[in-house]
Amino acid sequence: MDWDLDDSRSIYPQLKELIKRGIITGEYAPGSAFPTVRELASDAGVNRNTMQRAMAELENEGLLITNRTAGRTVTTDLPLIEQMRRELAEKQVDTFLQEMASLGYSLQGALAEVAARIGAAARASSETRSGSTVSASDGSSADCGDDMCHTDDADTASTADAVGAAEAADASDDAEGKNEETKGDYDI
Amino acid sequence: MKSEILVQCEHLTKIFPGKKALDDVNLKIGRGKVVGLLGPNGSGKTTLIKILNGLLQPNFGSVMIDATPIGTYTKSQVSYLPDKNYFADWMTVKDIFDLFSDFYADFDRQKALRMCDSLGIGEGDRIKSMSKGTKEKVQLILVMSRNAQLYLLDEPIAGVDPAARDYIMGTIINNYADNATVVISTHLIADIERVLDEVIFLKDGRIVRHETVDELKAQEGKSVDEVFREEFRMGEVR
Amino acid sequence: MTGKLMKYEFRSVFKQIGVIWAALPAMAILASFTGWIYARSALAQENDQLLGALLSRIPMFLYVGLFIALVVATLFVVVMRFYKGLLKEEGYLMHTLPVKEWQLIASKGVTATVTVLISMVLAAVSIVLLNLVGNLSGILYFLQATGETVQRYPESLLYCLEALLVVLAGIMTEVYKIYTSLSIGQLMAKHRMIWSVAAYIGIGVVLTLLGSMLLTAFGHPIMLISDRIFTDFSYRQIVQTVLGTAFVYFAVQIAIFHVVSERILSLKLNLE
Repeated sequence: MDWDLDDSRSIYPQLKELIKRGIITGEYAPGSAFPTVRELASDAGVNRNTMQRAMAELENEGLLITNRTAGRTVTTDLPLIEQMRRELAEKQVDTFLQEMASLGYSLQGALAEVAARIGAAARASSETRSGSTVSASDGSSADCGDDMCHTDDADTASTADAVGAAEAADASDDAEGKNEETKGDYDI
Repeated sequence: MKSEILVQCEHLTKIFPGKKALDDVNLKIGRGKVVGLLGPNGSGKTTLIKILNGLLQPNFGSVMIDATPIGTYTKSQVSYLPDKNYFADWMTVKDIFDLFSDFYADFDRQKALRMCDSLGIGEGDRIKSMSKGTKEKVQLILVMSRNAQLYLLDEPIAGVDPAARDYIMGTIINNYADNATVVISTHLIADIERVLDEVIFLKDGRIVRHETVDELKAQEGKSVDEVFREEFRMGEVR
Repeated sequence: MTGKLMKYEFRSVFKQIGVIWAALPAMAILASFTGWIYARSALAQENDQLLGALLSRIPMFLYVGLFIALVVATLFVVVMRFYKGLLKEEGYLMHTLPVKEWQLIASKGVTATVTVLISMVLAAVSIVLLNLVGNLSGILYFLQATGETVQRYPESLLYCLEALLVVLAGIMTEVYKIYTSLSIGQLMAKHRMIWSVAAYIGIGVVLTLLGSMLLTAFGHPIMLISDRIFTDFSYRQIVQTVLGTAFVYFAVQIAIFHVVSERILSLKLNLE
């Protein structure tokens, strides 16, 4: 676990988030034994009381369970973990959209940008893959290894085109200055 | 354990020829805290620590540890790590373990052995043949293997490479006794601020700040290191 | 606690000087042996004397060297165990142990005194050993005579013991004088060793002055008393009085030096 902490803010909320990520990624597997306060605080290089507070709150939230004899374990409540994963993902999206808004993108614009980047990434990966199938010279999809990859490329490419069209339509709106109200303004 | 406040200083003053090292210091430190004693060189940190462990006598004021004036009782409850090596050259690791076992009832020999083992240090190793870094680690292991009420660590990571720093900080966090207080004096704030519950800023022998780390961050919105740099800014660089 | 401190003191001293303690008597025996061989061979043949003389004299030279080394090392150990042990880096450990200052000083004082005694005894024994080979009968006779004297006059053993105590007290007085000088030197911020030497000389001067002042002030009563003692007292009483007075003379000095050192280290300690 790479304990990447920002010293200008209170530490224990950051510890909570990092531990949650650890649970989601499986580093702290569901049902597995969780390190003691001492061990983890020492590993993270943080104050014991701070780590104690983070772990206590995670217990309240149901992510860690204390057995009287066996110490702490990670919860086995998979739906809870899934919900936590969604919460963290939502926070990521919120942060992203805020950033984009501060750069002057509207919600639509931000979404279009996302689609465009996904499309570009998909095309790039399919190019490297199709490059290898061409050299096989039988044109089969065997080298791709999986029918899915072509389908994905097609899907993302078409989504990108569709959104690209929306973006183009949007751009023409921009030109007429209708975007003034939504520009720089993000509101859920 | 005699009182809730572990360390209490009142009007503590120490004067050396030509310098007032501590000027009317009033201080209360509770139990179970890791406290940073922060200040630039010459601010009085080492003087305060030496008074707490009995190496210096104040000129005015009083000091109490566990509601007792400094003496043999307080020395038995305090585990002190100075910033220099204090073992006689002829000693082996076993000799030092024997010495600590003889004089400190709270010394956990097994723990010290385990920690030395993990560093590849054997009981028969001589102090004379150890590198400076190894000597420092042995000293740290001994100090942290005691179940003291108060740990006084004077500049534990100054002049130490980053890998050793991690080892030292990890050892400190992992080993101090439950509900004991650790006082770390240093001028290298950034490396230790995450380990601290409270900070004391010492400037020219006076306390200019004493609060919890969270209070400081809430008030200043900055890391302890940044607040420290502002507090002790030396003047314009250009 | 003081006992534990003394344990570490002895171990430290032994590591530093033990080699010389063992080597000196051994070298004495060797020198005695080679000297004896040389004496017998020289009697046998007149030629090649120079080479033989040199070779057989080497252990003697080594012995003399070791003897000087013993004297120097003993002084060095007494001074350094106090200086390095309490006033330099090791002091950070010693003064933070849960013991009182007087225990630190006393443990070193006692150990140092015993160290000096051992060195003196070994020096004397080694001198006897120089003449061991070939004179074994003489030495045995001497020991036998001593045993007989002790049997006939049992109180002589007591006097010897008392004399030993006085000697020990005398050694301890010198040791504590050194400790006090080092402690006074410690009061200074710089050039502590130089100040310590000055203090040592100063103390010597003060004691001499004090002694002569007391003598001139109380010279007459002292003369009267000692006249009385040497005429009226029995032999036994004279010995006891002299030994007793000497002991008191040393004991008072030890007490004063101890108190001064202890006060300085308790109140005015300033390491590094």
